[in-house]
Amino acid sequence: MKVSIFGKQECDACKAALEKITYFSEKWGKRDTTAIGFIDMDTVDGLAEGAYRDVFDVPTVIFEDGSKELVRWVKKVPTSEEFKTYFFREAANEQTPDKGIH
Amino acid sequence: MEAINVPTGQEARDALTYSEDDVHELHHKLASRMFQLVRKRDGQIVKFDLNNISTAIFKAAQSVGGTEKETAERLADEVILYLYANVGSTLPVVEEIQDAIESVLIEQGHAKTAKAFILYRHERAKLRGAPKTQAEADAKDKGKDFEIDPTELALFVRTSDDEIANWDKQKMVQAMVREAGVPEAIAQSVSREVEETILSSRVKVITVSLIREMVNAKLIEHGFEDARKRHARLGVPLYDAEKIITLRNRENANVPHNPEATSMTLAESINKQYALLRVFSQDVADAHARGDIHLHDLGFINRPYCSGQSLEYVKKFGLSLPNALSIAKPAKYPETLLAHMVKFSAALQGHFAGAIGWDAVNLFFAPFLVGLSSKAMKQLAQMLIFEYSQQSVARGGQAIFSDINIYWEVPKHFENVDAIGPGGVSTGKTYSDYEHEAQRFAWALFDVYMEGDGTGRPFFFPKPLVHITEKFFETPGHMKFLHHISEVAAEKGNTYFVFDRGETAKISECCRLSFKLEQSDLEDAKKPWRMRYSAMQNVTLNLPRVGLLAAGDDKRLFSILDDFFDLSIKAHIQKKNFIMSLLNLKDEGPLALLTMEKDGESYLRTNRASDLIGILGLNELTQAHMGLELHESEDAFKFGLKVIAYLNLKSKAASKKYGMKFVLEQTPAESAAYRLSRLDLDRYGKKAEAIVKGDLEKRSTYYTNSTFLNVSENLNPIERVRREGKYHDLIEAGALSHVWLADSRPSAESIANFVIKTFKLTRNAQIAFSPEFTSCNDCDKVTRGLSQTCPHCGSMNVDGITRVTGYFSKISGWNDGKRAELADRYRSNI
Repeated sequence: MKVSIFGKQECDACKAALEKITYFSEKWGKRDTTAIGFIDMDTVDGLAEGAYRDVFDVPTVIFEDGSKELVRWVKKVPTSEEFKTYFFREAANEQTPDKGIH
Repeated sequence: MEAINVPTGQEARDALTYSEDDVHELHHKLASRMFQLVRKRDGQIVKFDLNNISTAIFKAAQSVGGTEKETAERLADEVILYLYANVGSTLPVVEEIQDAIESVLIEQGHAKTAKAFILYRHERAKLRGAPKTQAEADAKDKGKDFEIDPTELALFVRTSDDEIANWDKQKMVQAMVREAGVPEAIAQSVSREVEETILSSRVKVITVSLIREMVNAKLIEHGFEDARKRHARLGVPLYDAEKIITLRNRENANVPHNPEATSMTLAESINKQYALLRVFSQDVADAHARGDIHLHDLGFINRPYCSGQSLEYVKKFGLSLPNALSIAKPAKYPETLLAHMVKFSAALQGHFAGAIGWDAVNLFFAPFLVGLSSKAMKQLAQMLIFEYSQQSVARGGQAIFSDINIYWEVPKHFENVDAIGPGGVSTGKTYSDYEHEAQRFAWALFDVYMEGDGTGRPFFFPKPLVHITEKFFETPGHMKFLHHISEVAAEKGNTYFVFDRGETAKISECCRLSFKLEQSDLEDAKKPWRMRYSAMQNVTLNLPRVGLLAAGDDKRLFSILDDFFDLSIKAHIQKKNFIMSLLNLKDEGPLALLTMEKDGESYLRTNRASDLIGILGLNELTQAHMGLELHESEDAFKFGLKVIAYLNLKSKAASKKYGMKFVLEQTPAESAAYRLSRLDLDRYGKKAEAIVKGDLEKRSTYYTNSTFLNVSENLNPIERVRREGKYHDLIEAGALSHVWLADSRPSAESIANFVIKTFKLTRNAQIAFSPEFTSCNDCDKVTRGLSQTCPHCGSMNVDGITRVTGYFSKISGWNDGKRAELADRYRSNI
């Protein structure tokens, strides 16, 4: 599982998203199997990466499985309930939810 | 406490006075250091020797009984100081030194020695040998010394005012001193030399322009390059003027071929020269000439680039322009409002280099349209489009480059705004109450676009820009309207689909320019007449050259990019300063119209003006740098994004630093793509040949516009729009993707679906579908596709019509580079 959080240094919501997802991934024992990255949109590489992934607003949170995008939240910090599904997707043997943009 | 002795009276004066010997010593020290070299009469530069001067003076003195060598040496020092005071530190010529010797000898009371020196000088001049000119030779044949006598030669001068005046050397002197700040002694010396040349040529009448160039040549010869620039004369060679007068201007496909256009092109030529000499610094002007950057619209240096405005201004204040012959109160009828709008557009076109855009035209017309029959509504729409497309009133007899922004819905920022109605007063309602009338008018406008002009050709102007927003899809009737405008796009190609996602709101215009509305602008929306935006200038970076120079080294590439970017910032600051100097003249200045203050601030809100950093040839940058075009690899595509992200952040940093608004724009590059590719071919040869597009043999070459993918590549159109759209968020002042249709005619449904997909699944900012047409000038029939002859009557008197960059025009007016691009374009079926 890979989680990308696109944000900016002065964006409190962006930092909150990073902390929240990191906290719950640890709490749920998923930290070792989850790559969580913060992509700073105030840097050249971050801005270019955001453009490549069609990200313009911050925070944008994207969950991916391999190269497949599962879900993204735009200008919003998702609740733990909202992203929990994606952490336990395989364990619960659930169907992959439709790719959604929230 | 010990007393301090302070000298007073004569004692003090003695202590502060230099002896004569002290002064001589000081002067000698100075004189010894003043000049190292001297230019001889034959132009040779030799080492300067102070002894030669003292020897010449002493010999002259000896010839009249003088014996004091020390005095001669002292006078030689004074000659040097005199020379320095009059010619400065520039390289002295022998004649100037001799002039100085004469002056010093006379001033210091050595009249006899001076006379002896003058005679000696005269004899030497005679002995110097063969005549230098035919006039001298003629004189010699007649057995007399060559002498210059202007009155005998009856020399006349043809002045700038087309008058014939008597020769007066002092006019040259005055011009050099007044215009170029040349020291008078130098001006006198230069004018003497010029006079000598002119008179010895025995011409009877000479023009002031030739005299000025001769003076300039002398100024260069004497090392006064800066003065030469200030003293320059602007103009065009006769050969060029003749070409301009007789042949079509292909730099801008919107310029017709008529006497007004000729006058404009001639004036543009002078403006360009003025801009590069006086508005921009040498390094910026050279960077443009070299092709590192491209300064757009130099021919219109005396005005800002383009503007977007609100019809509310005209509705509220009527048509009351500075220096106008008559004033009109706010309109009471829709036809009058339309007339005011068009006339104001024409006036504005004379004050901006580029487009004149109008925001939410159908909405702001709406309070005037209540109860109007469908027939009257259609008639008004027809009047609006024909007025803009037929009036050849703009610069050089062009049609007004005009854009009308259209909304199906009432944009959120106008929902609760008081509507201004007939007479410029509030109707007591908000614009939400006029949605129905606004929609009817929008529909009628597209009915007219669908029909085309009298022969069925698509209208070139005004360009209709329909905003597609989230609210658009929530507004009843949107699918029918989308179908309607998609049908126009399929049939005539007019419709531009502008995508405002999320909270984005903007005014669009020109080829793809847009003014994105910030929070303060949305506050202004409560008083929409305040919503006036402009771009001051566009400076394009030659990105392919950056790639060519970097030689595959990333660090070097970004360093060169920095250099080009910094030059463009400097150019923007210089243009802004120049425009501000014109604006500060208020009513007395050429931009009086832009300084009128109807609502408490000047019409041109310079604090809201954008400064455009144009992007050209990103595709060729990656090709030169990585060997791959944008569509050929993900790495190249991502590197392209990195370059644009870099420029985006640099623009923001520069905006903060200079208190200006630098934003990236996709350069339309109608002529820049052609010009810069040719300059690079000249400069980089084979390396450039590997990346430029077009026909190398004919030198009909071009660079790919802005961040577009290679136009010749067979890419799925939605994939092209999606991929190109990834750049668009980074290019805040406007971006566009083209779908070249050629003779294929997709259904309205296909276009509507394409538009919806583009809005929902991509980040693309704007798309346009471009069909191609052949219009016959003999039978007036219009046929889909480009052909050499009319399929109906076989005539070869046909015009090809399609989009050149962001607007429709006749292909016959395109430059060779754009024609080559047209030949390369891959046409899609959707």
